[in-house]
Amino acid sequence: MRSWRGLTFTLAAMAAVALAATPALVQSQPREVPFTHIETQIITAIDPQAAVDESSLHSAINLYDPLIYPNVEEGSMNPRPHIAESWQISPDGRTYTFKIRRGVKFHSGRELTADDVAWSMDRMLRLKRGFSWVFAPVLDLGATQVVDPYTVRMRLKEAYAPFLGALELFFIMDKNLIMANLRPGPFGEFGDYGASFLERQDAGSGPFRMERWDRATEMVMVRFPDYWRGWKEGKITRVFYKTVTEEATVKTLLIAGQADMVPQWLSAQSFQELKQTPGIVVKEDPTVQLFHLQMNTKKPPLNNVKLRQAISYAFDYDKALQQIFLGGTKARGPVPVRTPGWAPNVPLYSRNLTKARELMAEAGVQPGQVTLEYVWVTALPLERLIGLLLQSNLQEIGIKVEIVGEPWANVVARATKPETTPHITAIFDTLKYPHVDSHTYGMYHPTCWGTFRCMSYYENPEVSRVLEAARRVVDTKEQMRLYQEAQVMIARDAPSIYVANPLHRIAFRNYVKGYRYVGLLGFDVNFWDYTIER
Amino acid sequence: MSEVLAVPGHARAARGQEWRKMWFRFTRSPLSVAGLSIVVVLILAAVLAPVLAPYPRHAGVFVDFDRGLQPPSARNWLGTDDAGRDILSRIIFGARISLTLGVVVLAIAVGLGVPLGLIAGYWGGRVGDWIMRITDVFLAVPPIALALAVTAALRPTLTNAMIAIAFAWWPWYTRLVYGQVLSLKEQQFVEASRSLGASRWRIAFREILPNAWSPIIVKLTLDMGFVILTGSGLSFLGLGAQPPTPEWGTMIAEGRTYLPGVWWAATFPGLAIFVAVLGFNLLGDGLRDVFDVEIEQWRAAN
Amino acid sequence: MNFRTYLLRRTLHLVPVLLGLSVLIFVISRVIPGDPVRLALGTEATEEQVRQLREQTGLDRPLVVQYVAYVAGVLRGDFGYSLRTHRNVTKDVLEFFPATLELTTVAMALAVVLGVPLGILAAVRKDRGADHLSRVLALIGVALPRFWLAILLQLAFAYHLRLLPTIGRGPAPPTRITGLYVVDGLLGFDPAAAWISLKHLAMPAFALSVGTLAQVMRLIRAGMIEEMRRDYALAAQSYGLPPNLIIYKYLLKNAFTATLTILGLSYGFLLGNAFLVETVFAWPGLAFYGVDALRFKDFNGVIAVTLVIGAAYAVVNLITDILYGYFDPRIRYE
Repeated sequence: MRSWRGLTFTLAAMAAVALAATPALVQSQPREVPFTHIETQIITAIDPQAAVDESSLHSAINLYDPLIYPNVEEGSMNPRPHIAESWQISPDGRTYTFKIRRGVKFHSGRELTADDVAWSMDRMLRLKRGFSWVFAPVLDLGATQVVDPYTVRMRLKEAYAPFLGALELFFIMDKNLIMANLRPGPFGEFGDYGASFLERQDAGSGPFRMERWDRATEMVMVRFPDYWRGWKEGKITRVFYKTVTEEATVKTLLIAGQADMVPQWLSAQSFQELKQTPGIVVKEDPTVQLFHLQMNTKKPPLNNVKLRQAISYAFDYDKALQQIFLGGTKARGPVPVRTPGWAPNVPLYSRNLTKARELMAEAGVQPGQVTLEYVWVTALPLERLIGLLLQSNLQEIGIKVEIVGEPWANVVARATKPETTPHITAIFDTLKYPHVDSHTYGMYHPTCWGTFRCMSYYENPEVSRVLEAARRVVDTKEQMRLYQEAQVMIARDAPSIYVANPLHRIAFRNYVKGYRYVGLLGFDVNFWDYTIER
Repeated sequence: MSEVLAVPGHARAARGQEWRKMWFRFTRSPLSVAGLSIVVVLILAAVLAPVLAPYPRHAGVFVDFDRGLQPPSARNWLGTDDAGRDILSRIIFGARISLTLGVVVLAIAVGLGVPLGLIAGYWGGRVGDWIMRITDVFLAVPPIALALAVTAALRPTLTNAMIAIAFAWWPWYTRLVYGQVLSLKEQQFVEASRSLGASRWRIAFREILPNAWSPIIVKLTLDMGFVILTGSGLSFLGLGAQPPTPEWGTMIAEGRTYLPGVWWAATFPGLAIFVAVLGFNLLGDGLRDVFDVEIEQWRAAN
Repeated sequence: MNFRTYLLRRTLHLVPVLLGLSVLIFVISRVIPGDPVRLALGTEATEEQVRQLREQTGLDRPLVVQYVAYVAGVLRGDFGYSLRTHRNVTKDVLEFFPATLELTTVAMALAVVLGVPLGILAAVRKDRGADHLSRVLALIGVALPRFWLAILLQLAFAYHLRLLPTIGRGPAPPTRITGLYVVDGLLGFDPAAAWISLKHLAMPAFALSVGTLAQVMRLIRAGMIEEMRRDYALAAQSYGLPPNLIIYKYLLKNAFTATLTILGLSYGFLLGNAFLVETVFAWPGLAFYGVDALRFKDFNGVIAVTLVIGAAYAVVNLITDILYGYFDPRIRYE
């Protein structure tokens, strides 16, 4: 029948065309490579210039690009070019000139220029959130100038050693996109500065775009095809970034293959369990993280340095490291051992009950006289165990310890005043910017008082003088010498019990390749770095 | 429960007989007896904890990380928790904490709620109206929600948890007593006392209240279980007892991290809560059955 | 009084109660130590910034002024600004409330759907095997700590048997009309999505429902036994009416009204226990949000959650009272 033949011919032709076109279709559309990452904290801020904690940094690093990037390829935190292709620093250390890379596209399609960089820096300074405090002391509004479309100049108020490294936390935002989507808000002509817009969309140039954000449960990020660093076969196309607060569930999801990667905050025992599970890789890296118990030097009786030293001699560091942390390095002073600028001659405390009792007597404190409050962060059960250990240790020299669990937010709130700050607080401190300054000036200079990093309210004019000088010095060797001098003095005063530089642990399925840990918070979870090999 | 008679001696003897009758009726129900036994065991555990627990030190300041998270064995019948402490011993000491919590909370609730209900019911008037209105406000939210809001305002400790729960619990007693008083007010014996010239205070506290006791006692018994439940719920959320206090709810929260591999740390304390609540419920039900019969008989007689 | 007057009176009764509740919670929350302004600005905020934001959010004005402003806002539907989530609390409430609504409604439905037949069974087979078993089950149900049961269910069905998802609500169905995932799935003709949502609901709803289930069972049983003793029931039986007819048409209806009041009260306990169950299952509902707000000392969040829960509770009580008044005219004359 004629109609039959005609139909068959048409169908055959269509099939032929489809078959011919298929390779082309397959090539133009990459194979879908989904990835599920579990995090135990919800993403608190979607604005990269308001990010401070790990999960908000993760979203910043994947949706946006910072000006400078840590040298992850060589496994170090030191700055290497990223959006800034090259830079020059003036001899007096006060002027930084950056050449902006050409051809970097925002998700909106526009090219990234010096204008966006300058605008973003001013935005960060005006917003006064996130890491603005790192830049605010040295950079004024308007001090970041556009020289030409691909050159930016920043003029500092004074030389500042950590400045370049700190720029790894400065993310560039799409000025036009945000300015076109302003809502009424407290920033005058800038309205809400895009706060409302950012809840639904990102204004970045990073490898991924925000597809969906369900505040309480997950964020979905999808590949940005025109990302300036390009894409390869096997790289991730879609990320499901989920928040799960229950550790048992996190473990189970990974074991069952319903998640591809889980965060570093699981307990040491959980990681032991995961290590023994087939199909799962547990990566352990030494860190530049410090776990310490901060002692409030302004709250009696801890204002007595001999008492603090006595407590430092009573704590069982080995037990903490071997049985609670299950690995890691014993902390030696306030600066993590692997940080350039760590002082090898920093005084060390280890468990010595005789010395502890001696010092207590010298301090004029009788056994049974003192009760101290120890506060731990409820999301981190390990800190509870440390508290129990401390309680047991201090009972042996006659000091009573009250253990109180507080959610992180309350710890931060209590840290704002010396009266409300507890006697002893357990804190994990990560290097905020890749410089020894973070663990010295950032923790033991009076300008940091009122934050969770400075719950010791340490005040030593000699140390402050040395640290201020160190920041201004341009010669690296002299800089490091000064920082080391400060460390030795600080450790002698025992404002904290320095427990450990813990191991950083993370677990993922064995088909995930390309994970690298460099120690800077959040930068190990740039999903663009990973390749999936099944 | 007994009628108001003019002859004291006769009343005492009659009352003694009453108690014996009630006891007999009580023991006829196996569930009620089971409830009583559980409660007695709890009280014994609380009182004799240092003697009964195999490792009494583990309930206090003690760590032995080498023996952390051990499964149930001959050495530790219910296993150990993440600090190496014996779970059985901590559960036994936990009975102390839970019972204390229940008693303190209910003492406050009764101390506050009953007089208020009595005043609102008997005196009535504007004062009574206002009392009941405030009671309604407190009752407008589920008790745990109110307790949560209060604990958030205070530091998280066991004592503050007790205060918070008592804060949420007293209105139930006010309402109960109010209802009781309203129905008792019109009874004959009250009329009799009034005609004899007894003052309102005397009538309220010496005539009405003793006759309103039975539902209060039943409610108290049932509430012991529910208060313990609420208290452990608060501790589970981290808003109650702090380490190293061996409170059952806290123990569940601490053990939960290690699921599913380590199941004993979170399971056994929950079992303890369950048994305690069950015991008080059975006892309360038994008491109610016994008192109800009494009330019916008394009503019939009057 | 006629029904309409009763309805009006009962509804108006709601207002002073909610007002009083708002005062109570407001006072409590402002007493909370800790400084949410500092928290919101981050750890390195300066005194100047703190003062500015405090002024902006009105936290520096006297308590009474703050309260009046707050109430005015609520009447407009504005619960204030959350310093924790950095957006309007009303938005947060609208986002999280449907989850709790879905959970509690399904739990309530479960309690009724399972409790009523079991109660009837127990009543009809009074003092025999089934009755005793149901009594035991009821006792267990009331005594079980809900959060412990939740953990046990998780352990069994999610971790070991891998039959049900461990936590959460699952993905939202494509159509978002009510915010109730199962309903939305069905409305969008997407049974697969509805099924996934149901699987996520199974354990939390069951854990939550157990106590109410037990109570419903006991009440139906008690109510029906009492009705069965009544004259009309005996008369109907002697007239030879089929027993099933008697059960369903007469006894159940009368027993049910007695159960209605307890449903209202139970809803309050469901809402209360929702805090614990939502925490165990990381169910993104209002109670979950509330616990976070509490921990964060987020004033506006805490007040909003308590008010909404109080209002929900009051509304349910109102509905049950109205239904009760409708079925049983005697009540209206109180």
